[in-house]
Amino acid sequence: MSSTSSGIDRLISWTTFLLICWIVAAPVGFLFYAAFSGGYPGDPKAALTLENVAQVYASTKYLEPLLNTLYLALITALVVTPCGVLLAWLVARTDFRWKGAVSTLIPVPIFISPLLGSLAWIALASPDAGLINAWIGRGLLGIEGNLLNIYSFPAIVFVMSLFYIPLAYLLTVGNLMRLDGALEEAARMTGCGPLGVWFRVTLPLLWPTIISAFLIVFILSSEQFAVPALLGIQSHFTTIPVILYEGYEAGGMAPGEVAALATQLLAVTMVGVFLYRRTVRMARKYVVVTGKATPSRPVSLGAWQWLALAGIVFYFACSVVLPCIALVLGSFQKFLTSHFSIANWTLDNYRSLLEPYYVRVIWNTLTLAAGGALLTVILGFVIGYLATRFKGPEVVGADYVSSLPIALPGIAMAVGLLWTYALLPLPVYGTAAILVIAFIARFIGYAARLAATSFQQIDPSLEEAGRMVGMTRIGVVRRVAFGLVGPSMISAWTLVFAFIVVEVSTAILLYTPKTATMAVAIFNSMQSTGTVLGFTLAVVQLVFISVALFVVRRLVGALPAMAS
Amino acid sequence: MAALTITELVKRHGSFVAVNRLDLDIAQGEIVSILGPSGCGKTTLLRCVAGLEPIDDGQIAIAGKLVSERGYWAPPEKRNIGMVFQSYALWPHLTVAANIGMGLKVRGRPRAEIATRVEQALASLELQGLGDRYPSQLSGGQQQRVAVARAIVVEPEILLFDEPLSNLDARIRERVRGELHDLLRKLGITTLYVTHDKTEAMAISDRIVVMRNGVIEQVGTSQEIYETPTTAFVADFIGRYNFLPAAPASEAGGAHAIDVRGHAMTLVEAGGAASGTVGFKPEDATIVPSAGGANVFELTIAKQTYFGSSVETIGELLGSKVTLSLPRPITGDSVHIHLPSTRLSYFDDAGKGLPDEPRENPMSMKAAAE
Repeated sequence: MSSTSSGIDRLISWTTFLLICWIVAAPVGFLFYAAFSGGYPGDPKAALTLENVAQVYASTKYLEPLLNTLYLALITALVVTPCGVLLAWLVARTDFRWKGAVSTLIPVPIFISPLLGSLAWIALASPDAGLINAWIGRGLLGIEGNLLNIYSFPAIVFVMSLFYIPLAYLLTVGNLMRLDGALEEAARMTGCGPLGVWFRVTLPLLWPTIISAFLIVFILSSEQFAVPALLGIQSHFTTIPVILYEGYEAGGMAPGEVAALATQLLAVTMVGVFLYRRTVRMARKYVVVTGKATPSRPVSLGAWQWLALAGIVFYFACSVVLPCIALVLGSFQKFLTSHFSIANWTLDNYRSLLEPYYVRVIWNTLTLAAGGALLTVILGFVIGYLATRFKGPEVVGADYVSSLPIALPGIAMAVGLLWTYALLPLPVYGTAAILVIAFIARFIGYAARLAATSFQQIDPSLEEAGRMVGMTRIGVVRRVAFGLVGPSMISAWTLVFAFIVVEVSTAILLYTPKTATMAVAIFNSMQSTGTVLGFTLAVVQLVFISVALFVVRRLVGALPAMAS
Repeated sequence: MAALTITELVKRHGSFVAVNRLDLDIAQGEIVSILGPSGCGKTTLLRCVAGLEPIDDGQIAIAGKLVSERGYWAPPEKRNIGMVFQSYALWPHLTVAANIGMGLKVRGRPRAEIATRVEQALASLELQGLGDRYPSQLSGGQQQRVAVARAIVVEPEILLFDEPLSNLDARIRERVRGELHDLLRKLGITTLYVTHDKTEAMAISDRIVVMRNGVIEQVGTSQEIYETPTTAFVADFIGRYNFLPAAPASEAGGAHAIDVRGHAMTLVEAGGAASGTVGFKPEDATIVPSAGGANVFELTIAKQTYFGSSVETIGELLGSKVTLSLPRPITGDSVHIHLPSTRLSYFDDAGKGLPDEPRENPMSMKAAAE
């Protein structure tokens, strides 16, 4: 009995390992193959060549976009990390009066996404027609010309920062909360003043956390596609992801050269990952050795409350309120303008969404996101379950491989996927299946992490108790283990659903007119003439995500009571 | 002059009064324990002295200098107090030597002096050669000693301990307790030591302050609070007393006679006119061969547990359930026992009643009763 069940265990864990390797590693492998290919994707007779690699790595042809990419990622991470840490500190360690509201609202910008943020800020701050330029700049302040120019490098950093600050916050707030307050109090008792405590104890202890957050923001900024693509055009500021898209879309580059350049972007993020892993290893040395953590007295902000509140209100105004207003206003107009005349108001944008193409786009988005999220969560939870309950090389491997895609640039992965499924005789290329595979590969890491965390919190004896009362092995996994993590699975599904709905950097290379998603259609509307239609789609996209989040909040809010 | 003077101290957490109009004087060089169940306000009191919490009313003075009163709060770093935290709170990013030397560093002492004094502190706590290690590389007992070294190296006015042994393994706790006691004696620094473990308090301190619900129940030496508890709470918490309901004697038996459910009992102290409670420790009862004589009663035995040096005997005495510690097991269902009048304590109901909260650590009480 026990030998057969262990045989089934091995079968399941090896199948999972091979599946996750195929999904994640195959596109990377084929990307490297493509970098040396002289032909087109799917041409089995293509000769191998060093030409593409030489063009990318041994000439100055792509030096400027490479430097731009690094520069943009560096500056963004330098702006985002201090803001995120400060926000986390406010919530975790001070008596800031509105910290409950901050910790509830902080993920909202993530769901608005950099793509919609760019759209909205084009409406708000484009030269001449931008609402802020028209109303505040020329109207209120009486400035000639423009107060803000959205088509500039600082604006790209600004818009990206708005949407990465929540990430830096979420990456640091946990460790700030867990930091034993007694460590800081001990420093006070030893004679350090409040500032001394911060520089001698708090900051040194948080360095690994802060550097990790910095590197993750750096990685995500370097692969960010939509923001520099939309806002960098006029100032001719191009980064590698933008060149990859243009090279593929316009066909100005040999396909192999696109692949070679994609490997360079991969190299950039891998350097980030390497440094990240070193930091995490360093952090282990800092493991605090205590049993109990004492809740420490929160730092009293006094009058600084109001400055903090002003900063946070400004942040949410820029990242949520103003963008939503701009998107809604834009969706009811015939063209983007700051002069709101009656003649320019229209419902035609919403009527156009009833055209078959847009109905299809919306349907694609909902089905791909719902189905893709379901598959991702199932696979992620199987990996998380195996990783917490079983040992073996294949289990460790599956866990490790599933954590890689967080650092794989989406657009590089898309190039790899195109080559993979163009060559293989599987009915995937040019279908919705390739998008589903791409989405699983991109977001499996989040689902597996969430799953591992929730399985770790469940004592294995709960499952053993299930066996003792007569449940079968499968019955235990189904009724006890997955029953207990049900709420986390629902949360994970919503998260992945929202990520897929806003995903643009892989979908933009993999879609066909039949499989286009809303995010793709929004991006394309900005490239062609249908700007306001993009705004309308953006509003509909926001509504979908809000409904999903709202429904799940109610559901999960009610479920933990059942578990306890 | 007293090293520490606490006057009418009031500390609230919201509407909950954690410390209520508490007075306490501690002499120079004295070692005082604050003992009480969880939630009695002992840690809050310690944190107020440390300057980690502002106080709501009253005053705290260290060596005659006012450090806390309503609306004024000298920050901890200005009080020159050493503190050993329950979790030790060793900084994990600094070596043992850097942990110990931090207080001297922020006081701007020269580097050479810091090195010497850290070395001395390491030596006095038998931590030689561990200066370059990180806290995570030390055992629990070593971490505890580093925490003590860090607190004493700055030569503080007062040393504070917040349950410093509660994170240690039970096996080494007793040894560390002994070492700590010797060290504190040697140092001669005024010490305030918070604990919920009465054996720890008895082993370490010159005086014990028993706290409950934010007020002091009794202050005294270990022997005083054990042998002559002034309240039923202290009697129960320290001595694990048995209690019997007592009423004024119905007939003329003198001022020292009381009535327990119709049986006469004689006390040394006066019983008083109102009803109250009479109590005695488990080891106070002695076995007598037969009935008759003052204060001899029949015990109906329910359960006996053999512990070697003593037998814990649970049974019914005068209609109340009691726990006795007898020298040998009893054969048969009942036995006659004698309660010497010198050993009986009387607590009147107008005073403080019986403990109303569950004991925090029944194991340590049992250990002490044996």
